[in-house]
Amino acid sequence: MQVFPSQQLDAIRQGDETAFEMVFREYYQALCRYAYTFLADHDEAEEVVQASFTGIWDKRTELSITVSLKSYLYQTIRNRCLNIIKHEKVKQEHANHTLWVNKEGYEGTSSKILADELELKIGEAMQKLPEQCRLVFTMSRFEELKYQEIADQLQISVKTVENQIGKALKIMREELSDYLPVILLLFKGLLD
Amino acid sequence: MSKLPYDIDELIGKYLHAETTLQEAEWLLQWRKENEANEKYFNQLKTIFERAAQVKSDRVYNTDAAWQKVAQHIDQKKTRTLFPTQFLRYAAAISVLFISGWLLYQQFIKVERLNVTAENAIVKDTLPDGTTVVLNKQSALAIELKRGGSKKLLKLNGEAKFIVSNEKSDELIVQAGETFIKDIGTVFNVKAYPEQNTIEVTVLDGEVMFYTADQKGITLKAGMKGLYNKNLKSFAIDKPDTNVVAYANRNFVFEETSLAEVVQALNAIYEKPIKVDDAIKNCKVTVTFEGEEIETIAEIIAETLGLTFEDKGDSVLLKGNACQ
Repeated sequence: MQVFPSQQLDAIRQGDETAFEMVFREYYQALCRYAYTFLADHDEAEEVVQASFTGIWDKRTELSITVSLKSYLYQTIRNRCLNIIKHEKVKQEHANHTLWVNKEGYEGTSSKILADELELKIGEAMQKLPEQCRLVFTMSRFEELKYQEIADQLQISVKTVENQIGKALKIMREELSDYLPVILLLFKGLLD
Repeated sequence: MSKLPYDIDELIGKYLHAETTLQEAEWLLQWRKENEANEKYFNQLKTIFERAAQVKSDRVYNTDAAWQKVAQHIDQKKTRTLFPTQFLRYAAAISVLFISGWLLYQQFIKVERLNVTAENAIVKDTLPDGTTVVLNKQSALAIELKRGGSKKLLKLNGEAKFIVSNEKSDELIVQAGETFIKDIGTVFNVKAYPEQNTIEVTVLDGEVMFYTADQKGITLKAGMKGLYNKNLKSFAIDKPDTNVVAYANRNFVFEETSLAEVVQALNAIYEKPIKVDDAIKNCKVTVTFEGEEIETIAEIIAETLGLTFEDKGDSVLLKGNACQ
């Protein structure tokens, strides 16, 4: 595996708090959003990200990172979230419930759907994917991993990754069928 | 749906992730061309794919508050391994030195960044060094000028014509997608829309080098057109299209060109469209225009071919009998 030299990482290892704060500020929003895709709970997502950062800081001298810092952060978040899901199925179900309640809120808004709202809809559709399917899809989209890398990390075949991504897109398209045509028209209107 | 050796969702997924082989990409392209429904289906999956990574939750997380919490944790830990104050003082002094040095350095090699964008109209601009740039619609140019340095890097998205003043010895490099165009005192046009598979460079005067980070590429002289195929990663030389920079100067050269093509070329540039009757669409015309108004052009075409023209305010109509 390729080792990525990282000045930020070296600085953190040596206890540079400013460097650490910069990394924190750079990735905090994105990581919370990533955690949210697993947990469907904002507070919990934030807690996981904060805990991951304090964990990294505490272990900074022993950090051995063989991927880029960004990949490492996403992996850390992913692993922590998967652990939480495993141990707290109940909480997860509750979160799903609140998500459904939220959904009702959007339904009535207006016929003109904004681009931001499509992202929310996609987020919701992503939540409804079967577990492995969602994991593979989020790893590909948020962590920007290649099929081979996903296969290696999850110890599944590349063929399975292909299959799960295809399945994810298919399910999400069906889920979003009511919104997509409107959105595409809207985009087309902007381009013309 | 036609018989594909593949599950279509998997294939599209692979394609969007840039994991397809050339043959698979070709299959997909064929499938998309089959009918509108297929194309629509593809675009829906593409939208989901592209948007998914930007998924926003309905709240913005409070980074400041979060950092306060994390910093508190860090500081608690730190009290246990507190550095001697003396050390901290030295460290602070050294940091100040470093920071001021860095700031000086930044000042010295300061990179100036400019952006020129054209949305629905053609934009003409002159850069600080005298290079004139004409940006076609839906194009953007990012410019990096290094103070004190001699290199200029221009990143192009879309289409633009560059007129480089000869006296300046500054090196100009245009980056278009994965290719680079290095000029040697010239006028040239670059067409690099992200959705198109080829990047085109047409040289009107002088000479340019057209290359990528790992390919030497080709040298183009005045009157030559270079093509780069993004899929095949290969260069080719082609005959230039006479009207390639028409948007920049409104100069058109037509030789035995059908009226339909003439009108298409004109309508791409002028706001006010020319409309022609089907009967005369195939009439051939040989004519040159230099920066004329659209009404004048219509009049000249009408006279040349013995047609009548009618200015309707928001369009110009050409009518007449079929040519033999």
